[in-house]
Amino acid sequence: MKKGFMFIFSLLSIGLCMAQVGINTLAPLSGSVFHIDGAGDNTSSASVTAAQAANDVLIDAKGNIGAGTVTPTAKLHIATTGTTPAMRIADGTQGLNKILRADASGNASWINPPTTDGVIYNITGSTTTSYANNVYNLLKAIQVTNTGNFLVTIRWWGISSSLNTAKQTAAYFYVMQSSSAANVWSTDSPGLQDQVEYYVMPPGDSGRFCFSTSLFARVVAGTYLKVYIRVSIGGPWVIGTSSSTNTTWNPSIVVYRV
Amino acid sequence: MIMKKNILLTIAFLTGTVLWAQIGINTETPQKLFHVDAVRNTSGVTNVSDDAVVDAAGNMGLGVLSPTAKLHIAGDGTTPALRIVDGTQKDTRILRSDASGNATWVDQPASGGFIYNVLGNINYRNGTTSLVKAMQITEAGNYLVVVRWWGTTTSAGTNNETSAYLYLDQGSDGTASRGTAKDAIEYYVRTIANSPFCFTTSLYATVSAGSWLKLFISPSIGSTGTTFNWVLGTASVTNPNWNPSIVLFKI
Repeated sequence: MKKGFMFIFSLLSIGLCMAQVGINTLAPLSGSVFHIDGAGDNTSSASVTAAQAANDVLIDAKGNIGAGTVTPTAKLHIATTGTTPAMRIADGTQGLNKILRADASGNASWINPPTTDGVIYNITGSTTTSYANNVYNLLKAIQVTNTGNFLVTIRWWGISSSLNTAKQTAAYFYVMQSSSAANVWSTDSPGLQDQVEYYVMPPGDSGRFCFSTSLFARVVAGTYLKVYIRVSIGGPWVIGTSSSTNTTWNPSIVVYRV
Repeated sequence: MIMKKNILLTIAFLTGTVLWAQIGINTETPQKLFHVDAVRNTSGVTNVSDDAVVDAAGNMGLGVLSPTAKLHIAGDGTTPALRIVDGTQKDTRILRSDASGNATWVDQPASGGFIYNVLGNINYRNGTTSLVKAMQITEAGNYLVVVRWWGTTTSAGTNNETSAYLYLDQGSDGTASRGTAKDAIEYYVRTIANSPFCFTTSLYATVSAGSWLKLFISPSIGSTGTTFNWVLGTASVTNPNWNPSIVLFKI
């Protein structure tokens, strides 16, 4: 009786497995530690065909896991050939065309692909607009929804009511981030990020001139990107004299993240 | 009587061991619900880079004993962490989700940037609208068309003035016919006749994939009443130094 009891007892020590473990197979791949044969179609422990491996999950002697492959070359190596997707992450962040992004610790979540938020603002109106000499005027306040570095390209079109004796006129353009959309230079000027004093010699007697220049500003989401103008030589600068509405003869500002 | 008791006791041990212990493969001391120690070298928390675990929350750890995500892979510095071979893999591709979270590898989003050089002996007659370039668009989006002009005019008006209209249209083909107007500027230049001038300006359009962006020019102001041309290629018909170029990209 005692003998029989001891024999049965020794068979119970299965909490520890030192042999290879096969699930649904009598032939776990030799060298592997843990081998699940989903369809039970493996025939040899010496080799597994690609078709047989397609339904297998295996942990090799290095601790690498293969799903659909019995020779994983990464910590997790997934191989599929049919219509079953390789990997699906459904954590609430998934959505069509989102991409996988890491946080500082490597946790992955799906996010919308980055965009540059490129857009054009036409400076047109129902009548002409005049920018007086030596007055800070708000040209445009742009609401920013995504933090970033912005290139502000000003395509100017207008006239100057007067030139200096050298037939020149000039104006400053300023960009900064601001918490309001109002024309308040004194509040906004401490945050000035980029500026240019643009010199022009208007062609012809008509004084119509055009040019393009670009300014750079870093702006955070939820604030405004603001562009101010201040005519410094000659002026006032007037826009809308050929047409107040047609974009062919008025300034525009194109903004995009770089 | 005693026989029955012993058999019952044995069966009780059998069932107890199978259902409620932690399972270890290659380890006598499984530290989680399911713990594989592939190299059989784990001691406490050391040498765990070859281990795989499933913990009581159902979180899976590869190379880590205490996963902090449903699947937590800790690389060993040499072996890649994750490899997906499903036919979509290619160098530099990124993972993209469908509506359900199924991942495939796709090309990184690009801005479709392209440069077109305008080369040759070309005369653009004033008062006539001529096609400068037709550019096919492969990806829908907002495009900036940056025109870097270099050329001459055969006539400049009073006080060194010439101008030309630049029109940006969206079309369905690459022919010289006008399309849907998107943006335009009448560009004024201060210059003298037959002397090079240059300027850079930009035009903007929102377009769909498969359509064309076409740039047209129509010189406007020269000496009053004269017929004149804006001319390209006077310095060279091949060198982009002295000819216009157009750069377009999505913004």
